[in-house]
Amino acid sequence: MPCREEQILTEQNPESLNYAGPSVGRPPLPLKVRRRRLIYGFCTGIGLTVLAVLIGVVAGNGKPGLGAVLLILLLVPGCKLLAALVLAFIRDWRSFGGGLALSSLLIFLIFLGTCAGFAR
Amino acid sequence: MEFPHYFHLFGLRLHPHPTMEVIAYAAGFQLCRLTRRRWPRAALPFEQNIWLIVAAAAGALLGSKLLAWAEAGPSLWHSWQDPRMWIGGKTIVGGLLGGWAGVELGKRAMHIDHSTGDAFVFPLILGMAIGRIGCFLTGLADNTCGLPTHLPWGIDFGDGLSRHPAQLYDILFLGLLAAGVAIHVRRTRRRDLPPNGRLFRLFLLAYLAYRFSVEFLKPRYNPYLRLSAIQLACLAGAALTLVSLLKRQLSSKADPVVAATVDR
Repeated sequence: MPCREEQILTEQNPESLNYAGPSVGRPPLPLKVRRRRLIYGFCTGIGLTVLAVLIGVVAGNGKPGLGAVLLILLLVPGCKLLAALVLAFIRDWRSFGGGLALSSLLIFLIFLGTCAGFAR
Repeated sequence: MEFPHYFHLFGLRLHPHPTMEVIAYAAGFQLCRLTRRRWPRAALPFEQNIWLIVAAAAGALLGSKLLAWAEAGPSLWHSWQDPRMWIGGKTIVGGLLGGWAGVELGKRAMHIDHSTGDAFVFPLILGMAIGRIGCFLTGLADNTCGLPTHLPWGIDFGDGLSRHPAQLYDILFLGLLAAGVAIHVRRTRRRDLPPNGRLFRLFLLAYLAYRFSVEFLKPRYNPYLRLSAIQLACLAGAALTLVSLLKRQLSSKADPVVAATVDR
């Protein structure tokens, strides 16, 4: 019968634990693709607003009512911003979401009133 | 010359304010692309950069509307049922301060700890100057014209009174500010100092001081210690900027390397 020392020497080493970091994920999309998605997002945003305005104008026989204008002003950008916020958490669609959000905010900034208009 | 001075393009009659704003954003964006190459520290990953711009735009929108509503004062509350009162109006001062706040919050959320504002100083100046051309061409409806004056350069915007062309004063000031900033940049480059947000703060401080003064030349609603909402915002913004600049100055004396990286 082998003594205790021999037993230790013949024992196989326990399996070593893998301390390496989590497995490396898929590499991000190339910059060119992400840039293109940003532009697509931006153009989609602008297109949706133009479409909404056209529908508003047609529905109002060339003179959309105030209710329709408010709907366009609140509903369309609201939906776009919500969609952008959701896309911000999806890795490959982050730049598309950024473009969508940017289009919404820029349209608001440019077309919502003149400087301090109605003030005073 | 008639105000508003409409543009005619391919049979379309374009209002000068949104037209010049579109040109201002486009020109500012193009200049931004150029200047960012000269500010290597401002370089950020693509998505972070985009969302930082989104944060700036959201802050600018909120700031410009909130200050316009405060500036409108009781006229807004008297006709609060009219949605046009809520939709109309925005201010550059509110846009600048709101945009700054938006960027700082965005940076905090994305754990960005270095300065990004210096690269945007020249694009902002260019965009604001082009935007002011739109304000000038819009005339009285824009509410940016000055008080009546007998000075030879006064302009009749359509109400029979010769008024201070306050929008042109803005453009003149922004031109001088751009020259000053360019000299400052050249000096700091010679001393090989890294950009640390000081340039953006100096620009903001100079513009807020100018706006505080020039508002006295405009017809305004001034219930707050005989000051308008825009003037109060200028004072508050200037105080914040000064504190931030002093903090930066003190930390740069203690450790110039740390100062270059500290942003908040």
